[in-house]
Amino acid sequence: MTLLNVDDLVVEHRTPGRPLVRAVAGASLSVAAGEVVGLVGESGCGKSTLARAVCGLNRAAAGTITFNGHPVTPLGLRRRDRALSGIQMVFQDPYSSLNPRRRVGAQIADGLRVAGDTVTAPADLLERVGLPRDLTGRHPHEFSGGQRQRIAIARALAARPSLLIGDEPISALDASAQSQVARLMRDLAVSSGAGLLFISHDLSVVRLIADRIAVMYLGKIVEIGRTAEVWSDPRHPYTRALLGAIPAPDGAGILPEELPGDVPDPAAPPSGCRFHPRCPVAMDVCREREPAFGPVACWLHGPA
Amino acid sequence: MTLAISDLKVSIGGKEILRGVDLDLRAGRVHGLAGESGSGKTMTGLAALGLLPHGARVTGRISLDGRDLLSMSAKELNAVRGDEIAMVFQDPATSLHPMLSVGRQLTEHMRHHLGLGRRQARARAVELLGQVRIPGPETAIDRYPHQFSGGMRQRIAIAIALACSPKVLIADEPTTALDVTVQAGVLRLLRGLCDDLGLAVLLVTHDLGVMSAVADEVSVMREGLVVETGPRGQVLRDPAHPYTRTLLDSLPGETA
Repeated sequence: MTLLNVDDLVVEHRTPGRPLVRAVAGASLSVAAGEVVGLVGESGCGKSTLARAVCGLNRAAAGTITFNGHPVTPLGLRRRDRALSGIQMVFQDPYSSLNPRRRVGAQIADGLRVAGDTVTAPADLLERVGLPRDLTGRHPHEFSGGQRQRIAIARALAARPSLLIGDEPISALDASAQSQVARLMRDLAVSSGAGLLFISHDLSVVRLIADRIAVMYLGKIVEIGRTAEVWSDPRHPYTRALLGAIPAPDGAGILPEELPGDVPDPAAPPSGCRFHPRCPVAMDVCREREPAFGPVACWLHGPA
Repeated sequence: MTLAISDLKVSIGGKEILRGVDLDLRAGRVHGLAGESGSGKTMTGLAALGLLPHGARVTGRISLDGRDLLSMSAKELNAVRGDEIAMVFQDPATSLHPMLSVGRQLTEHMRHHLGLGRRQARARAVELLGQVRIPGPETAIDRYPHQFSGGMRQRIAIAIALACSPKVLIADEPTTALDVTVQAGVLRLLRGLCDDLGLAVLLVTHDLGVMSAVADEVSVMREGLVVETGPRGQVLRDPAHPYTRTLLDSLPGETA
């Protein structure tokens, strides 16, 4: 059974005096228990907005999000629905997601209280994320970026989530800590039987940890598939461009292919296929009609 | 030899950060500096600009066309910094001033170092923005950093570094904060500028893929020492030092 189901989700940002921005424009995605799904795409494509909607931090304008068969409602001022506390998020920047004035043990204990767990001690969780047990009395500023992100992960795990969401959890970290933290998130999520939705713009890390990869472009998922298949045989031209832009460490001195242009303004998306102005193989049909099908949303790979 | 670093040692608070680094940068060549974080890559770059943190003790020699940068007075160093040696930092969102227009940030050091008038400096700034391929340089010059995307901001940071026609450009993880598609464009730009202007570039990066794409020579650092230096093809294909081998093997490559 799928744990999380996102169906044709639309999220809009309204700013007074500016046109409506449709950050997520009809995206569908599912995460099963014990599965790791990687969501990749360039900055500004709506990855984070999608993640925040799944947590109830952004209101869905259309479409549905269900978690364990329970609809996800936006987080209000009052206490959150108990059924939804199984969704926990690790944010991008551990410098701002941890409270600087509280001891890390107390912050992890918040998570334990949510789960009604009176047996586990915060020190046990520190140990699980690879930090010494006796650091619970310290404050966040006494830790490095990678350690802080581990604490944020410990806090999320304390609530015994069945779905863990990482919104660019590694991009604020030092290069050498990135793959360690990503692997840690995967191992902890999978070993506790939880699903993991891992959002990142770094494809090489996503490749290491994800079972499935979803590629997002301008508010839509353009390709979704098993990691190995997407990596060895990318079908959407955008996926190809993304993978082709990663330089290979082969010593050959080949400059990677550049994808010309920028991500268009989501307030005024192009007609037809959203990728056609930058697509090297755009056809007439791409300018007129939007390919609204999966798993590869491209007219070259239309449904049979 | 444009910039020669020899036996550079840096210690901060009694802790040795660099333990004798030797590097030679040549005009028109990109020299890559690889290594894990904490290995001293960034410190090497900062030492060349005299930007080390307070209380750092430095010994050794960094010579720019025969002049030793380490024995220069603060005043002499100020004349060199930003003029003959320039730097591009990792994150253009923080290295550019958010409240000054792009034009102001591009012309300030030009007027100081080159003694240009307001109008001349502006004309040169427009030319530079065109050189780093910012669309519509005449209008872009009056805009502010937040009005540009990450890749465009990094191009602006590169334009600022190039403004006084430096001999040496130190780029500290210039593409780490960018998307891969944008990274490709910035790498092409750096390579092109190095070839066209005869810059000596020190490219500090942890990404061996980036290194392989643009660097001519590669040095690998570990714990404050350069463990291996050589032409790109040799270091990345047939590394002599076991540590370089470990770095290459730890990559999530096709062989893994």
